[in-house]
Amino acid sequence: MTDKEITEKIYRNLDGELNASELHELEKHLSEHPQAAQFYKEWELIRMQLDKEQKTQVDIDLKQEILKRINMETYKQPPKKEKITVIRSFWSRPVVKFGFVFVLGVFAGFMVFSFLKTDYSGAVAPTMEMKGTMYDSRSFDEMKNSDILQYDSPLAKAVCNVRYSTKIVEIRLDLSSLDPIKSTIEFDYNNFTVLNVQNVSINDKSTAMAAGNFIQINNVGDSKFIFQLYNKNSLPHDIDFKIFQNDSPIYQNSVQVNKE
Amino acid sequence: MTKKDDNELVYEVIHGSISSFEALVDRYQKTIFNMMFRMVGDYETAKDLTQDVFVKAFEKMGGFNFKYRFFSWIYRIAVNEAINWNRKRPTTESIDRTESWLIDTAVQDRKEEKSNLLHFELRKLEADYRVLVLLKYYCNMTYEEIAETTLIPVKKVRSRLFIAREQLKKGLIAKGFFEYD
Repeated sequence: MTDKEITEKIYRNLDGELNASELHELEKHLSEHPQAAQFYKEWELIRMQLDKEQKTQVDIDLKQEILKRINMETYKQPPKKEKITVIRSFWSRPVVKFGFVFVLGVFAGFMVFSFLKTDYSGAVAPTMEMKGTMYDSRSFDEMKNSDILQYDSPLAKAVCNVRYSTKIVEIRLDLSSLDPIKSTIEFDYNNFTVLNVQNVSINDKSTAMAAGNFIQINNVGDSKFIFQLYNKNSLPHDIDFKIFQNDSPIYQNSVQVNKE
Repeated sequence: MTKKDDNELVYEVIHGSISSFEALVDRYQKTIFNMMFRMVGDYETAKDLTQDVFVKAFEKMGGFNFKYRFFSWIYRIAVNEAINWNRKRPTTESIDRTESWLIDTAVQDRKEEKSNLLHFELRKLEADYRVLVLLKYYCNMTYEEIAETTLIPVKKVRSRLFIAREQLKKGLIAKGFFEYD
């Protein structure tokens, strides 16, 4: 035990706060440490003196002086206000009421806003008349015009109309040839991803297939295709359009999308 | 007739009973005066301050909270009065007076001298510490009761009492308190 601990225990013993085991421990310590025993003895003397002082209190009667000062005959105590405690049920508490009204108001506001902003004019448009792409609410007509590439020769004819929106690039390709030709649309896979290849009007000899960075069309006769690319970053990029016959290029050009 | 408890008397005082207030004064004036006397070291001042305590208690009784014990409430008023008085007055004045009185009474018997020494050393303690010693040893309060009276946490009461006792003993040793036996 440290000196402070033993001092504290001595004080607690003098105040009668030690239990039996603590008292035993203290007695043992005091018997082994004469200095601590001396300290304890001194404090016992002080305590005894304090007890004596406590017993020898000065007797005094100040009642009359106090009453005179108070002048109770004329003094009137202010009536004590009774505390009125109103016990309210949970739903009648002002906080709950106002909270409920607030939530109801927000909900009603939202409903009115939704009702006013809804466009009911086109709600029953037949599916056939629906325009635009699967991934963009804007129709092809409303997209930004990139370019229209045209090739016209005795061997083949091609019209490649490219338009774009923020997220979509749509390419509408019309091909016409008597003999088999191959056409490619090439792009950087970091900038575009093929979303959709749609054969609008083809014969059984024409095919279109998509890969990571190009679309290849093998065509004989008249065909119409729609290709949709996902516009990854809305930065200006080129898309190359090529036509081959017997693996020899006969036409090559490019368009730029995301011009602005 | 059974003795009414403090809170019953307070209730009656609030409702206009003079005799109940007298009963409370009878019950507490002696201990409060003695504590005051040991706090301020002057008989007349202690008398005035004790009267002040009861007048204040009477005036504030309308707001008494029956959750608490009356004795700790009135002791709190007394403690505040005593500490305020000590703050307003230079402490050296009364100590010097006590010391000169001690010298004058040096020829008195040893028992009385020991008592005087204890008084003197108590008076030398800071008012905040002195009040704790007085509440503990003169009013016989427990640590919890002291805490309730002074509005100081029990832990702090213990640590402050520890310091007060150390200072008191140091002073008593220096004055040769233990050589009288």
